[in-house]
Amino acid sequence: MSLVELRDVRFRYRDTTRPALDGISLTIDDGEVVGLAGPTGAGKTTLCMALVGLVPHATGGELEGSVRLGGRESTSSTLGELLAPLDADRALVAVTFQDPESQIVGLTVEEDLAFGAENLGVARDEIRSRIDESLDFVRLRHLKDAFPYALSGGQKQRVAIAAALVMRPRLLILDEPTSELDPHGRAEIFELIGRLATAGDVAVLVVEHALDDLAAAVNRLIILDAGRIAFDDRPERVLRHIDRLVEIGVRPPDASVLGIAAEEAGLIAPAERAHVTVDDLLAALPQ
Amino acid sequence: MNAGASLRAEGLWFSYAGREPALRGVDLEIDAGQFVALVGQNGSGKTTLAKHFNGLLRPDRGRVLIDGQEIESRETADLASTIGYCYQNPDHQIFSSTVAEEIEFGPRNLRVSPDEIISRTGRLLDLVRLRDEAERYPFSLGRGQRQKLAVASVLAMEPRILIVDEPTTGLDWQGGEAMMRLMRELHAGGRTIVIITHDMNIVAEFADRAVVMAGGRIVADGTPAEVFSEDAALLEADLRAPQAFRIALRRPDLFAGQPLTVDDARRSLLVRAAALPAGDIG
Repeated sequence: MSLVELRDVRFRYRDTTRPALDGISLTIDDGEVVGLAGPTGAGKTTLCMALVGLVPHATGGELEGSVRLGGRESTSSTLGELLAPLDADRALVAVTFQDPESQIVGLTVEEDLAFGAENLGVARDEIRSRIDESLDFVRLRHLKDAFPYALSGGQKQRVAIAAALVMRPRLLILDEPTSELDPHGRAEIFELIGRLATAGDVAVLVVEHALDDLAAAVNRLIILDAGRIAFDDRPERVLRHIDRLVEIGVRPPDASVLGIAAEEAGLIAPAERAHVTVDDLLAALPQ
Repeated sequence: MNAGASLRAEGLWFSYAGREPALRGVDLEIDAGQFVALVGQNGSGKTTLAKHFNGLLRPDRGRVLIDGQEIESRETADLASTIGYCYQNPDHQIFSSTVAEEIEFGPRNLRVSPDEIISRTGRLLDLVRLRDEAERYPFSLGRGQRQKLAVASVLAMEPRILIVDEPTTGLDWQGGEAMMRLMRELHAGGRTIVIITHDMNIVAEFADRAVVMAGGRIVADGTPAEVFSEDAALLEADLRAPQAFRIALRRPDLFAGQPLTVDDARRSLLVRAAALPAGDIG
């Protein structure tokens, strides 16, 4: 059984004609780190909300097909039943949002991190050790006693991710974690996502507009186009389809575009894998 | 449309109450009609500098001149018809109950004649492609449309210099490109344009000058190609040139000229490869 299973999911918000999700089937297994990209209105946020039952439980509207989270069928459960932990001391799902400030609940970083796990009923000592571990993972141990509002945007977003990790969720959803950050904060978050992918302890779904950093950090990339899955594959395979990505409205990384141009120019042999990063392409170009 | 105006900052120092200086001696001269991108991390001083240009902030030391005239003695409201400033978040400046009223508000305050207001509003609704939304409640628009409305309502005062703080943040690729094409149209009409952005692809594609800030100072200033080649300044500002530029910079043998954008780089690679003798291709 996969952690998340969607079969032919169709969903329309109330008073709208166009479906927001139009026949989505996918599964996500424990430990998978998946990127989800697409232009505004493609259904990224709706899909995330469907995964955790907010669609349709909180939004209303018509959902067809099957959404199963941890083996529970979304439409035949209440939201509380759907999201109840599967394991002791572990949340089923944790979500972080675009605006890092709106997620702060504590007056110190430590308090902020304790909040979710306290609500799960995790023992005090266990919470303490998880906080230290999570702060080490996001490299903010030195700011344990800091006032969260005084941190930089990237640091606040890392605190939000650490607070989610303290709950040891089976599934972590990061909804456009870098959209309000500067390039420095953005780099910090993608470095962190790359390490989550390497560790493979928690399934992560990262929603993003831009592909450059996302494709380099995840091992699976889903591209949505008007409520449908246009691609669901390894990033280096998705990025072969430059023209289609442009048509959908997502900007392919320059390295992928120039890699294919180098093939057209006869400089490198055509391959099944696209070049995802600048270094990938530089290594492939003839000396 | 009005012709652009020039901007000049001389030795600007500024501190927010009780804090370290946010500007540490900034000198910057922007000619009329330039399209300038101001880049740097949050906290580097970009927005603080921009707020000096329209008098929202007054420097502790130094002075700001518009077309050679000091702004120190003028009120912020007087400056509104010379210099327009769009906030990073459009929702911080939108407050009317319809799209059209939002655009009319500024010129009405400047006591522009009713006929002129109607004609400006009509032109701007067309320019930002919101004609069909004129009677809608602004907050029912999408983020990209709200951003364009914010720009239109500033343009309604016919400023000769337009400063836009993060015009593409929160927009997807197509939305961002549409916003920047609008900036380009306004620039072609003669305006001086200053954008603040984190997106180096936007800088490469649209700006004719990039000014890099770090720690309250200007650390690089030149064409985007010049600035993207200044490794030390980019390191200090913790910025990276666009992917295509970095790839081409490392392989000048494969890329003719100094391509800035991915489209330039692609063309340049194909041209150079066609000229290489077949035996040289690995």
